Amino acid sequence: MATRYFGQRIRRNEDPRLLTGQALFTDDVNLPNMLHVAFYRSDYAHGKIISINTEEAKKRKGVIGVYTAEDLGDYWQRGPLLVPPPPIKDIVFNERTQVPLAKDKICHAGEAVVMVVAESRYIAEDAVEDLEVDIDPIDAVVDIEKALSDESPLVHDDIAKNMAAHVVQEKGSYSAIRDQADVVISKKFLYDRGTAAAMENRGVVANWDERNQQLTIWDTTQAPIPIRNGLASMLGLSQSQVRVIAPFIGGGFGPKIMMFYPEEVLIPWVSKKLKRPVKWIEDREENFFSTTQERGQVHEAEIAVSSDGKILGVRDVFIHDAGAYAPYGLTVPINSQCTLLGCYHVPNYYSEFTAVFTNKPIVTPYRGAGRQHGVFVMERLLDLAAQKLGITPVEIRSKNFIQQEDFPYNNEIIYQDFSPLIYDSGNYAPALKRAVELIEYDKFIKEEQPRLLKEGKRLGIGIVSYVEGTGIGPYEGARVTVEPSGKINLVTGIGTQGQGHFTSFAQIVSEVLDVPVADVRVVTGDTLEFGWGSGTFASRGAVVAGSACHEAAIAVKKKIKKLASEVLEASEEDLEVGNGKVQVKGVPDASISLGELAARANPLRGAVKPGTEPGLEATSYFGPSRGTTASGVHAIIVSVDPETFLVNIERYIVVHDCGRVINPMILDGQIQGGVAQGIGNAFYEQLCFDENGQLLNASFMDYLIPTSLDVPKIEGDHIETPSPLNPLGVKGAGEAGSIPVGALYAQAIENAFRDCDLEILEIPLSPNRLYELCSQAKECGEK
Amino acid sequence: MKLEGEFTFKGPREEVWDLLQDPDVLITALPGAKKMEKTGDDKYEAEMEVKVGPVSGTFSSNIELSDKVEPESYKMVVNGKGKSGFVKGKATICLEEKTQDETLMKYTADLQVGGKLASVGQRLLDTVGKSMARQSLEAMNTALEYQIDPRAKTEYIPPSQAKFAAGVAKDVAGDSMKNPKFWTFIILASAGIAATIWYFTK
Repeated sequence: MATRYFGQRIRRNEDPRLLTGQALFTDDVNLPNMLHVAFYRSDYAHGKIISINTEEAKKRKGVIGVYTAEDLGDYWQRGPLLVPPPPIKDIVFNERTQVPLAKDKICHAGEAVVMVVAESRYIAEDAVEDLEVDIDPIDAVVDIEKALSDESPLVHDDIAKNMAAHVVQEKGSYSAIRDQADVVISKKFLYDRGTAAAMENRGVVANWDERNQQLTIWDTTQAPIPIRNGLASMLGLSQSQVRVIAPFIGGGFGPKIMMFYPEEVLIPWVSKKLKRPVKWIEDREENFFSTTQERGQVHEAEIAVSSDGKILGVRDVFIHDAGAYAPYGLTVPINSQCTLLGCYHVPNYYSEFTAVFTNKPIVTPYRGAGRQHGVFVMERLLDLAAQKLGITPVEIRSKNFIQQEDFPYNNEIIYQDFSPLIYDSGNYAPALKRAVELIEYDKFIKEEQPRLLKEGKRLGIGIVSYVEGTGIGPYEGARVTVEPSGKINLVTGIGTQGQGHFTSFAQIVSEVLDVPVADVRVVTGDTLEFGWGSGTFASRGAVVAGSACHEAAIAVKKKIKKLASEVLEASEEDLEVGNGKVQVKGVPDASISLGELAARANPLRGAVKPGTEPGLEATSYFGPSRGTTASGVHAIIVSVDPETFLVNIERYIVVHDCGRVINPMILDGQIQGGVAQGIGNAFYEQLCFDENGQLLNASFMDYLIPTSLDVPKIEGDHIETPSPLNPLGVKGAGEAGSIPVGALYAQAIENAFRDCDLEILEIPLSPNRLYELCSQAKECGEK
Repeated sequence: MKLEGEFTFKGPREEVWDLLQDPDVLITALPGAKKMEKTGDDKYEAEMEVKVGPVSGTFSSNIELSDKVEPESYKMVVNGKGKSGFVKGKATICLEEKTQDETLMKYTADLQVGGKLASVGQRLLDTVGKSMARQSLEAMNTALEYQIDPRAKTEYIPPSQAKFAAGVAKDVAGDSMKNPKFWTFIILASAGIAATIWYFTK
């Protein structure tokens, strides 16, 4: 199908505003008479609050209010459980969500205990230092493997063995098939914590307008509508009295959809109480403690393979670190459990996990949201099995891919959206073939690698594949309006954090109405403009909100034709919409511009016919039956410095399939950014906690994130296997870049040290860790 | 954080023992100590100014001595809190008679460090901790020598904060030689400390 706008590399509508510093971010909101907030956060990871003395702080000039949990009265409530446990047989689920301010007990370092409101942030921070908070420390739960033991202290006194959840999902019977296997690989895998480290920290500005009885909130949230709904209910206001604006946001990545952060509950409350605008902007140090994190898991996994390299079954038992509270339910570990199956036909699968509470910051989804753990375990098992069988990583993957004719493919377990894990469509073999071609796999192995080794250079190649469950429900909506100017207004409820929504959504509408993309003004993340929907997460914006935009544009097009047929006295079938006007096919004179038509649809005199609506406007909703599954292959060539163990990326290839592509340039950007975060996760970033739950690297001095020098320009290609589950045939792509990078690094580094028995069973790595692993490995044959 | 070390005092064991229990000496020898009071039998309260890299602040500590075997050994429980974190832990101090006039002190400490001190100061914590221990012991030794023989050449002048900072900078630099990976940062940190010294001495 020839398209003018959909699928084109169109420059982003939002960039002029962003690049010239004209875009509104939460911290740009400065209102007259505004107050500022700073929090007292616990230095201890675990402890009982003995006393809080606020006297001195209250006396400080410029301090307006100091609030503890007691001062909140009935407003002090635990946050909602965002995702209830899925309907899985025999599931154990112990609910425990976060509190606005710690009341009796501290459950992680950095937990907010006291809120100070003052005329300036400086005064508020000074007043925080005036507080005397006496906390009696308790031994902390840090090691997730020990958390379940009888001797372990308890994060929550009434939750035995710190068990947040226990889930078993099974397909076929692994135990029955294990004995028939020719090769069984059994290993323990570790995946440690990191933080999203978004460029913009969190922030909330709230303004209660007493005269209008209206509460306006600017919030760096990925889910403005649920925030509005929740706050209205908590504050006893009607939903229409609360307006939540999620303006431009400098990176979301998942942690900004945790609801409700204590600050999101407290800032609006205190604004309403004091009848003044109140602002809180998270600083970087707070971000390391109070914004949610991800990734701690320990897997004991096993793969059973036949001599011809076919997977007979996989068994995986893992422990998941939930952190101090689990407001997001089981989304992350269920993602790990489901994504492990990858692109492969796994006839027998036994997966069991236990989520445990620890005295560490809360875990909620962060780009990949548990998927990388599953991919890491599976891809590593395949690599090890291939090694044992004497076949290449490419061969073992090819042998086990789900074939194109097998779609839709039912994995017979339940996914995070509570639907059965059914892959809607996919075509895995061509993506692998393309990646092999692009990276010149065979040439590298046969010629390049031996030649470079002779020069003393250790280079390795890696190639892994993965799936990404994307675009889950429930629904999103969009409203398309043709304005009298002839330009289009497009409004959707989801928020934007840099994904290019202002362009991708415009392209979808432009394609239907045939207007230039720059003429479509897009509004996102303002509940006053659009009040129905759930939010930006799970790589669902393009799939769910994008489809709603498409449906709304089609509905408007119908209205355009209907009205134009009356005006132009022609049947609808004879009309065509294009170039900003409607005309009778083949009769250029018989036409009317969209703007004029819009003006006619909203007359100042006369009557609107019964049964019709004024204006050229339509609102549509789209809710997919279940998620759509994207996939891809990443390939890498790395060189490892034999002295420093720094890993340099020589080439990085991504062949990606997210169905039909709306804007390849934006997609490339998504993948580039995802890979950058994946690289950080694989080789740079690790949150180090000591045995007392103290985070030891809570600054960018010590927590390393990759820089532009460490992240190469990603090369690649797109394969388009449309999704049958939405009218656009699109699939999500937001998390694709980051998911398989750990597995890829492991394979490539092992390959660079193929003469040693180096085995990489953990992520993140670092030069230090790699040096240690190499020192432990048996003597290298050639150095 | 674990601290472990030995130090030879130039004095008999009994005198070293007394010295270690004397708040008036301890306050002058402990870098950054502003106040030290005996609040009960074997109980002390101290206030100290601590600076570890970018983190600094006042710490108020309770120190309790126990298991005293005079003049051989005792244990210490320390509980310090401040705006930039906390230090909490146990220490064991043993005194051995090396010769009649020399006493060997062996100390081990296991300290929990938390808050900003740990999360931001971590990288320098070990070195600064060791440096503080070394410098206060040296100062106490000088005090001891002076106490035993006031005519001795070395008069005991309690070290100033600036002198202490210079000592830390020296120790940090010494460590950085062994650990070249972090040299850039350490140079910056030393520069910061040097600036502080300059500020205090100008």
